[in-house]
Amino acid sequence: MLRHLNPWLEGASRNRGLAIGFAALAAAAVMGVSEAAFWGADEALTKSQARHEARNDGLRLRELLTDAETAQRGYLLTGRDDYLAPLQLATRELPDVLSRLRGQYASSEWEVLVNDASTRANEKLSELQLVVKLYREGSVTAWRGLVESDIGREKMQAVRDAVAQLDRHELALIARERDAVFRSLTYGRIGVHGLTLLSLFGLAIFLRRNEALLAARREHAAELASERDRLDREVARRTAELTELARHLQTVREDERARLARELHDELGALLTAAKLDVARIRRMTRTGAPEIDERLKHMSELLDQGIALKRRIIEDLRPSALSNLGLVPALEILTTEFAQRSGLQLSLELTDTMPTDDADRLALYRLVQEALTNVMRHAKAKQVRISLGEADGLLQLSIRDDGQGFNPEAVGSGHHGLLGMRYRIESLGGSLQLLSAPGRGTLVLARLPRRPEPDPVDEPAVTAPGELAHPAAS
Amino acid sequence: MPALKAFIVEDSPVILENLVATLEELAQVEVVGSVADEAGAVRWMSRDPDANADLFIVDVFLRSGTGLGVLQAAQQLGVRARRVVLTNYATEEMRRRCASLGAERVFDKSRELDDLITYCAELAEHATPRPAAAAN
Repeated sequence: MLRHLNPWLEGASRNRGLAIGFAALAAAAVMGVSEAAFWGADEALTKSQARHEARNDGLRLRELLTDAETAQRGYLLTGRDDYLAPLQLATRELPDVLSRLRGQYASSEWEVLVNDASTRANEKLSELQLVVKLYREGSVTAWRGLVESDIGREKMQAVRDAVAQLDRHELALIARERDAVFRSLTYGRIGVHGLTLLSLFGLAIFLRRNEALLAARREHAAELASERDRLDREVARRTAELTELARHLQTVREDERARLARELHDELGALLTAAKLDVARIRRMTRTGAPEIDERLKHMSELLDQGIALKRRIIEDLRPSALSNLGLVPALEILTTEFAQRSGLQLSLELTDTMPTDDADRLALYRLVQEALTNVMRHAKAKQVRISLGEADGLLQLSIRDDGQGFNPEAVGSGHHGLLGMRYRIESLGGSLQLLSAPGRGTLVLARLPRRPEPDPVDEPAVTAPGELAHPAAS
Repeated sequence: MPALKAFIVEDSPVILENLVATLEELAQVEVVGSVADEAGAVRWMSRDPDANADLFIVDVFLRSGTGLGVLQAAQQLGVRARRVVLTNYATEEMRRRCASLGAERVFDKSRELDDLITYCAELAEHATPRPAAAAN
């Protein structure tokens, strides 16, 4: 049945107005059934009360008459007045009882019977009073004749029959009223039970739907969470891929630049220098004889100088030749000394024995120092710069600190200082780059790189141990 | 009659060939030997620091090792011969370094080639009597 009802219930629960209407209808039905049961029972009980009163009146009539007759007999036998009290009571009360009975049955099918019984009762009472009166007057024959006649007995019997008939009738009616009350209560009970069950049914459906709703919500939340986790993983994976790609491209690019620089230096440089030497030889041969030729050769020599200068500029841009040929420590020493001379700043360089073993690391650190010094010159208005390269917490650490005007890193962003590219470069090597500064507090550029295992000492250009070359710079 | 004995440390065969020809032709220099790396140069100097050559012409960037290493080794070995540097990287700092390692002059490979030739020629002229006399 539940399944059968489901579509309809779903419709109802979707339509809020319909559901509220249904609930209101059910509530009205409960109240209606309850009220109907109450009024039905109340009416039946009221009627039943009236029946009981009518029945009591009938029985009272019989009782009064019987007591009166008994009293009369007692009086007749003993002649004592105190026997007459019930007769006097009957004389007092009978009119009321009879009038109530007549009122009760007026205009009903029992009216005739009641009127007849009433007349008989009055006649009986009159006869009883008459006999007592005759007895007192001493008319023995007269009262004895009356007593012995059957008239009194017939009247008494008629009243008794009528009362018995009424009593039966009333009992039957009372039973019917009782049945009606019971029926009314039963209807009420059934209604309340039914509606209680209906309410429970409704509650069960509501709970079931609520549970389904909650389950759907939980499922939705779980789906969202798993989707978010998946996206997180995807982002992490893509980021790792991109970092790897960036590192790879950087490596490829640097390798290519290094190769180009080497070729320019080895091949083109050698050719240009050889050409210069040739020109020098020719000039010395022809100098005295032909001034015009010498003029042209001088010009040619200048052109070759320009070519060599251009080649050198290109090589230095591609890859610092000091770094390639002398190693990181001399390259940094040369870089910082030349920078100090050019800028007039006081510059200190602190190096320890810990040096990067990886070529890409060396290049990145060299470029970082270059970039940082360029920034110091352009923006910092510093007097002193301190560069140190060493080991900290198992990592290679390079710091460039100036005492310049500083800046707010959040306001300008690291890209402003040209260090954003350096950050990517350091991070692609597995390291980190920090830029610490505040207005008036100078600037600290701090790079950390992981230490790598010593590579096999193949034909590295920088075979010279750093220590062997350290003292000229210190002098 | 070539009188000045020169030893050249240079890793480019093209330059070496032209340099040798130029110096021998224009400056009466006899190139007594050449190597392309630091280790070879140090080995050569170690054989006899005094009698091998009058002049070492050293390039800074070598196939392996550096000219600075060669200069340092010469200083440590107590080589008496003059040392000059011929380089593409003749920055101020490099000149200072080479000077501190005992190099008499530093010549730029493009602009100062003529100066090198002149220097060698003068050296050959002034030094001719002594080593030539000793040799003969």
